[in-house]
Amino acid sequence: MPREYPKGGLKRIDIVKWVLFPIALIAVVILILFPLIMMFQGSVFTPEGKFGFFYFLNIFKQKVLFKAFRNSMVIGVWATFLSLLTGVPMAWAVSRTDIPLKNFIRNLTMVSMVTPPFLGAIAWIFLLGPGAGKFNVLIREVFHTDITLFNVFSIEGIIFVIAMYVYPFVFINTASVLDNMDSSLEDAANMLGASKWKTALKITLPLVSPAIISGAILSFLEALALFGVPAVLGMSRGIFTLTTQIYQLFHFPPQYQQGAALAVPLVVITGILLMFQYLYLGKKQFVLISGKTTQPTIVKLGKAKWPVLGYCLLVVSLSVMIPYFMLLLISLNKVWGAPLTLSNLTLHNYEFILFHYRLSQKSFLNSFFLAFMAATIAVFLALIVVIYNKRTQNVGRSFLHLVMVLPFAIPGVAMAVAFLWAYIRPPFMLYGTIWILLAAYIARRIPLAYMSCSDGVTQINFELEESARIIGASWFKAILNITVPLLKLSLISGWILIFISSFREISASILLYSTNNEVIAVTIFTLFEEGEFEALSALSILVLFITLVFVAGSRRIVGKGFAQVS
Amino acid sequence: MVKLRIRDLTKKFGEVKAVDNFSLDIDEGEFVALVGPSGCGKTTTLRCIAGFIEPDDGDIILNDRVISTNKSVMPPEQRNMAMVFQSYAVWPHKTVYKNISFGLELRKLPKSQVRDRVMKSLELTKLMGLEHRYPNELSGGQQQRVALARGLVVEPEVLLLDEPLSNLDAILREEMRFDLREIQQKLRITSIYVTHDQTEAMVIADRIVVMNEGRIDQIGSAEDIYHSSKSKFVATFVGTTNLLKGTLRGKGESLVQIRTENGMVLRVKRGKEGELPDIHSEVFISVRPESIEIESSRIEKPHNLYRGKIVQKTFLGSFYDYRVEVEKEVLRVQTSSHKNLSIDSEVWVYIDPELCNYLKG
Repeated sequence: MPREYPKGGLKRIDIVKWVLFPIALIAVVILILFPLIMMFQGSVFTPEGKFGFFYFLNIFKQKVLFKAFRNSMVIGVWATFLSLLTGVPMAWAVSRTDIPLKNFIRNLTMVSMVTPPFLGAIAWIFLLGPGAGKFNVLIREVFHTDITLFNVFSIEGIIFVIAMYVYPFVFINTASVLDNMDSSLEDAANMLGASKWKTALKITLPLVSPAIISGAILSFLEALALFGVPAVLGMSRGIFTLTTQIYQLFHFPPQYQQGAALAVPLVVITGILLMFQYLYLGKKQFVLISGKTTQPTIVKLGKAKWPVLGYCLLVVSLSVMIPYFMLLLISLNKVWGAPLTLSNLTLHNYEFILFHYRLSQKSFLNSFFLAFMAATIAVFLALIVVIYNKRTQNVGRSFLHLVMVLPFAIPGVAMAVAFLWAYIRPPFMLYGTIWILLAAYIARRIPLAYMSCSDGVTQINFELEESARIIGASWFKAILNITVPLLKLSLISGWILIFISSFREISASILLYSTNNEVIAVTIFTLFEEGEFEALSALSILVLFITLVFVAGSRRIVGKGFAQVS
Repeated sequence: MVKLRIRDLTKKFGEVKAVDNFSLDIDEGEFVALVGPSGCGKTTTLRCIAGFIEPDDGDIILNDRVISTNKSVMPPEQRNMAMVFQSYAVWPHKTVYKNISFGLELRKLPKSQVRDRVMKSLELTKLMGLEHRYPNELSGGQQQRVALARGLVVEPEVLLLDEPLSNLDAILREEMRFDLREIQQKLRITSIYVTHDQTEAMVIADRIVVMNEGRIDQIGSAEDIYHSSKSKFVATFVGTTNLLKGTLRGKGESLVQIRTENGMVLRVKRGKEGELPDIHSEVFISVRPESIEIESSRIEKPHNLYRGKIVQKTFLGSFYDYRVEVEKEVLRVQTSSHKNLSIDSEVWVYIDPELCNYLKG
């Protein structure tokens, strides 16, 4: 009987081997490793060009720099403390008690997580600004005094606003362990006669503490890395943090090397804490989850559930509902500060930023273009590296893994410093073009795509590819027809995560943008500095709206796809 | 006609020889099973044949064409084989139809021909009407049929099966054994079947290869390996047996005399000249539980007749499983389910010399 033999597979393997792999691997190294190496190199040379720690020593010698360092630490520690104070009880309440509105609280916490914190900061200025802040005005009117009760332009103000946007890290980490934890551990304590409060304190809390610590570390690092909040609330009053001080150093005359030296502590602290989290806590957390799915025991709070619910609602109000409402209100107002009457309502601000204001139009287009391209390229590169790492036996796999997760440890401002330092001269002269923003977005966010893709591939049984190969598919065709389609959801969710976070990126953009290459966050920042609060609010509302639409859309796509594939 | 020839196949993982000098010829249309405990190298052997693993040494020859040597290895996709996996490995993102047609589409066959052949293989594997379903809408047994149809549709030279039934429940597994055998007989496709389950191998295969620690211990039909096991390993791995250790005391014309460690004297058929050990050397004898006769009344036999006592008894439906103490040895004896003897009773025990079997150590 004549048989058909499968035709030519070898040539295709060679394309991947000799074209795709090298291009992707070189791209990844140039994008991520090269700028970082340049930054470290820049920081360890003296102004005369000799090797030395001149710029590092400056951090301790120059009062301004040291103060910035101290401010960052103070803000980081207090914001983390507040995150614990809010995130842990809220996680316990929604996971293990009978309070109502659990899903509402969970969802609003997710919204808080995807809200750009600097928009929150601006909203809080409208409320707690010392002069015209609505809340301060209200208090003055009610009590007939001249006191300014709250001043958001202060270290305390910065801490408060940051805490409202970093507590979700603690909340989500804690809640996910509480949701999945084998509750027989707690039942055993109950059986032995421990009360429900005692069980929660003596059994549950110690068991989830690794997750809590891990969430606290993430909160701390995010607080440290944020640029927008201290920029909006601190700079005008001379309060600087590491990130805003670096920004300051790049104003005329730009002090690149000092900026690089100031970025290094950020990178080092982040690296050490992430390492600690990975090596020490990562192992501890796995012990808890048994793999059995058991219904967690729900604590009946009785009357106590109303104050607990009130506390949760207070936090989500402060982080989401009040700021969003404030921005919405001002975006619909003719003049900021005018009384809230129907005649003062207008859509003019939206019309202005959408049709009449060139900067916002341009930055909208730029941000869309950059977010789309960054997400697409990052997902593509991440996919190739994951295939290289998980589906070949080639050399350098662990090195590549390290390179791909490294950007997790680089705060945005530090990344921007590295990019400035690396791409301001040959061989890669990108500064002054939109491409340096694209490169920085890809480099910053590629770990999101890499992790999502890598987890996805790990779940795909080798035999699925082997069963394609044995009936005639080349290695490349098996990857293309079997592995990649099965990874669809990981790729989409990686893409959306990168799109959302790049669309409103500020920390790196603020240093890397140039005229004609403004992005949305930069435009909002400019509007803020010019006092154009109504247009700013309208633009912010649009950004928030687009972000939420993407988040909701991704949830739907991923949810639906799962039912089909698994 | 020899279809697949494997010569001195060797594969090391670090210091461990997973496959050690494996040689086997498989005829056109033959169904061969590789059996052995986990870690015996059976799956590694199969994966070398498929081309997923590069052997360290040895050749594989398909239709007089060398497809694997220690220098170069033909990639799996060019071997024109098919494989069914324990995990089914049915592609979850493709319908049943698309799963099966994939191999044909790779071969760039015209659409009508693809359709004909997919339909034919659906019929063969009793999957008619399910072609538009996704794998998650199918039972485990149906998924494994899809995997089989997907392999058969490309009309492979050799069909490889790696524990294909191990994930199915017992009843379905038994049913599928017969279906597999029937399909293989119908298509006369050369097949290699890996399993740790000796019963499965016996049902399915023309020839059974028993593997242990990377080596072939014995090749033969189900009857051969059961009744004429050549090693202690084969005798104990394939079915249950009474293993008696003793020394050779004397050689007669047709029988030899053996004395066990515990002093029982046993006459055993002489066997082939070359296989007979020297006088006074240590030997192992295997006697299957059902080859031993027990009676409550005396039986007349010239040799190997003993008095014994029943020390344990289990009723297992189709047979009784007794432990009988005979001259300080405890023998396992299986009788028909109607021979109900009471515990502690004295019995006559007869062991047929023809049914005893020498073993290499």
